[in-house]
Formats: sequence, C-alpha cells, structure tokens
Amino acid sequence: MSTLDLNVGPQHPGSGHMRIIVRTDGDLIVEATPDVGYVHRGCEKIAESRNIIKNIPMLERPNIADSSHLNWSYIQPIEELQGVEVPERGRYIRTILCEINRIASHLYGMAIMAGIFSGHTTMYMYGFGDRELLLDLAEMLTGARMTFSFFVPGGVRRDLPKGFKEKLLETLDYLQRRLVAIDRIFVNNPVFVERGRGVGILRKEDAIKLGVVGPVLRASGVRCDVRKDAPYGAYDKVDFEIPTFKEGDSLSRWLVRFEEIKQSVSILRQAIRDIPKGPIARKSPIVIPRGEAISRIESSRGEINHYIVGNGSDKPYRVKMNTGSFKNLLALPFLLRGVRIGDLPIVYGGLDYWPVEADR
Amino acid sequence: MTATLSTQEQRIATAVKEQLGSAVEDVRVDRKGRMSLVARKETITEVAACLQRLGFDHSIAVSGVDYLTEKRIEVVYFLSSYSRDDLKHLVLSLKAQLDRENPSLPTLTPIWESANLFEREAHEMFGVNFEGHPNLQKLLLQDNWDGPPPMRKDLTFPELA
Repeated sequence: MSTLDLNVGPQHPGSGHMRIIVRTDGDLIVEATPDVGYVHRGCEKIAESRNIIKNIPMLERPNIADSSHLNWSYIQPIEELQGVEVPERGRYIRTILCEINRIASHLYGMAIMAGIFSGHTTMYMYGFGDRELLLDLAEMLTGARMTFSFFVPGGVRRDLPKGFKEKLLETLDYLQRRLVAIDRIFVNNPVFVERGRGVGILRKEDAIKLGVVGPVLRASGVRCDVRKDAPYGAYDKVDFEIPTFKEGDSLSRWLVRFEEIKQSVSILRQAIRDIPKGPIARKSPIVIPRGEAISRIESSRGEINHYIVGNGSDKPYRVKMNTGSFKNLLALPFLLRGVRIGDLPIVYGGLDYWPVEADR
Repeated sequence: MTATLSTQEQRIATAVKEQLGSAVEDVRVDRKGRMSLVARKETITEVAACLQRLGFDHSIAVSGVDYLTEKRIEVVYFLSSYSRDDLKHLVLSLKAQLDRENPSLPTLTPIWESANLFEREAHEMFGVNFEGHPNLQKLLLQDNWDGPPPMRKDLTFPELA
C-alpha cells in the first residue's frame, strides 16, 4: 500500500487556523492528525497577572462569535466564591443575550458548513445576512456587536433599552419566517441533504467515550444539555426541548443547530414576556476569596467550564478555560478515518470547530 | 452536612468510601452538584476504575495547578456522566497531589479517553509526566519552545500585566 501525506491548512479559510496532516490511500483517509496551537495566546497565563475585571474582555476574545457564553462561564465561579447572587432581572437579561448569541453563532456555523464547505452560496448569504439582525439586537443592548463584555460579577452592565422588546419580537417574527424558507430550500433538498448524510458517523457509545459536547453530542443521540441538567440563569423558568438525532452524521449536526435556533426563539419569547422588574446587578467585591469553583455553561459549541482558584487577591491564582471546540477536537481524527478526502470539509464543518477557542 | 445535601451526592460519597476504603482521602460534598475527592498516586487508577463503574463515563476537563509555596502540583480530573440521568448534574473533582520537582502520574486515558488531550496539555504546561500516555507530544506550544513548562508559577512574564 502506498500512501500520500497531505497538509490541509493552516491557511484560512477551509481548515481554520489549524493544520490537519492527512495520510491518504487513493482518495481514502487512512489517518488524520490535527496540528493545533497556531493561535495559542496563553490566555490562562495572562489571566493570572490581571485583575478580575480586566480579564473579562481578554477571556471572551477566544470566541468572538460566542463571547457572551465565555463571559458568563468566567463570571459564574467568581460569583460562587464571592457568594454574590445575581438578581432575577439580571439573570433574565443574561439569558436573553446568550440566546441571541446562540442563534447568531448557529447561523454562522450553518452558513459556513452549507456555504463554504458544500457550496450552497445562498445558505451562506442567508446565514450571514440574518445573523446581522441578531448582532443589531446585541448592539442595542450592550453597545457592541460581538465582544460584549456585558456580564460583570454581580449582574449585567445595563438594563434593557427603550424599544428593545418591540425590536426583539419583530426580529423573531422575521426569523421564524426565514426558518420556514431554510427548511423548504435546504432541509428538504436532496442536493444538500445527500452531501452530509452518512458522512463522518459518530455512534452514541463513541460520543460518550470521547466526551464530545454540544450539537456534536446531541446529533449522536445523547440527550444532554447543561441548560436542562444543571440549570443556571433563567433556564429553569423557561420551557424548551433538547433536539437530538440518532444518526450521528454531519447532516444531523447541522440539523441540531437548525432545530436549536427554533428552541432559542421560543426561549427568547418566553424570557422577554416573563422578565421581572427589579435591580439588574448587586455590588460585588473586586477580589476572589480563597477557594476554588468550576462553572458549567452550555455555549453554542457545547459545555464550557472555567475552573478558578482564588487566593484572596484581586487576581485569580489559576484560571483553567475549557471550551467546546477543544473537547470536540478529539473526535476529528476519529471521524476522518476511512472518509474520502472530498468529504473532509463536510466532517470538519459539521463539528463547527472554532480554532481560537480551542487554542486559547 | 445539611439535609438538602443528603441526596445523590451523599450516596456517591458513601459508595466510594465503602468500595475504596483507605485508597481515597477527603471525600467531600461541596454543594449540590459538586463533589471532590483526593487520591494518592499509587491508587489513582483503582479509584478511577471504581468511579467509572459508578457511572462517571467521561472527564469534562483536566487541570493542573502549581502551588509554588507548598511545593506541590495538583492535577484535577473533573468527571461527569452522559449516560446516567441521576448523575448529569454532578461534577466530581478527582485530585492528585504531586511532588513539584518530579511530578508524574499514571495516565487515566485507558479509563477516560476524553482526558487524552487534557493530559497532553497539562504535560506541556505544567511538566506533569503521565506514565503510559499514548502520545505525550506538544499540543499548543510552538515546536521550538525549549523553556520550562510555561504555566509554572516561577516563570513570570512581567510585560503581561
């Protein structure tokens, strides 16, 4: 057997800022070795020398498409150690921003997979165009389009602005009509569906063994979502489903994101209807008391955790960032074994891998 | 221990103590959904196998922590479950205290494959040698980095502050 080694990446786009060393036999992939670290910045090391507030913008940067979740995950253990409880209105506002962010991030991922990796330019335009409306909402609330730095220990920075509810509902109405169109044009379209069906199958046992998270996990039939399993924010007050598929292929991973957008729309409608009056934040000290805590947040790419050790100063003694993309990375060589080289982008796109989030 | 904690967490703690006896120290229920226990280097494989039998089927993260003044490095495995509904809300931290001069620990990847990349990361960032790990190559650092493990506390970068 004569094999050929190919380098995929590290130039962007296609692989993201990473390299996959692919050993091929004909056009079948025998072995794939991801080479990551091209965008490693040492966030955890930098965090040890800055105070907890200065860390907020730095630690949410690794995933600009999903920054509110990283922000919340970093704040949660600090609040636990400080013993500060966020007021209910603050928790609702956090939930609203995170669901807006989730829809934007899922649209991004769906657009990249369908548009860049399987050549459906219309889905690319739809995804990015509609995502803009969500970013407008986020900008109206936080003042920033993508890196919000909106959650601080104790609550959120600002209350809902005037006219926000109306604009949110208007956007959700539009989005629901658009989801019907996407369903008609892509989900029921054999040209699109056949491209991802049966490609890169991850069985349920393997998903559990490899510890994958988020849509990748749920596409393999595991009904796990931190928002349900260990509710935070206002997720115990809203009603929603966890979409799962049993096929475990790239198409299912795309479809999980599509279904999750519908759930997020429903969560947003309930949250904006039920949001209570009251304060949005409580005062919290700018120190981390001695102790340790770990957060659990369901981000767009799966469960993320920040493990924080405090020593009583204003700087964290240790911050361990643990992101969805890093956990799903382990599945990549597993999924690529035996796949045709032409299907590599579909497998990679299905993971919705975000290199910066993994490298930190 | 308050009455609210006498639930699943307590049952796990009792089962661990019964099955492992002196192999574990300091089994603690920190709050609802959080538990921790400390294992010695010699017994950690046995402890891990027992926890896996109890239903902890994956590790959600592995972290090193350098306690410079106490001259030790701590490795923490965070464990949870996908397959057991009653354990999904729980995060159990399994800790091992290692000598800072020569930190080494048997790898737990045969038990939790999901710890693979995290152990590689802890190896390059803290210099922990995971004995028997299938591939302890550099992961995030540049190939030409030949300094000490960068997350060690005695290595500082004043320009970062």
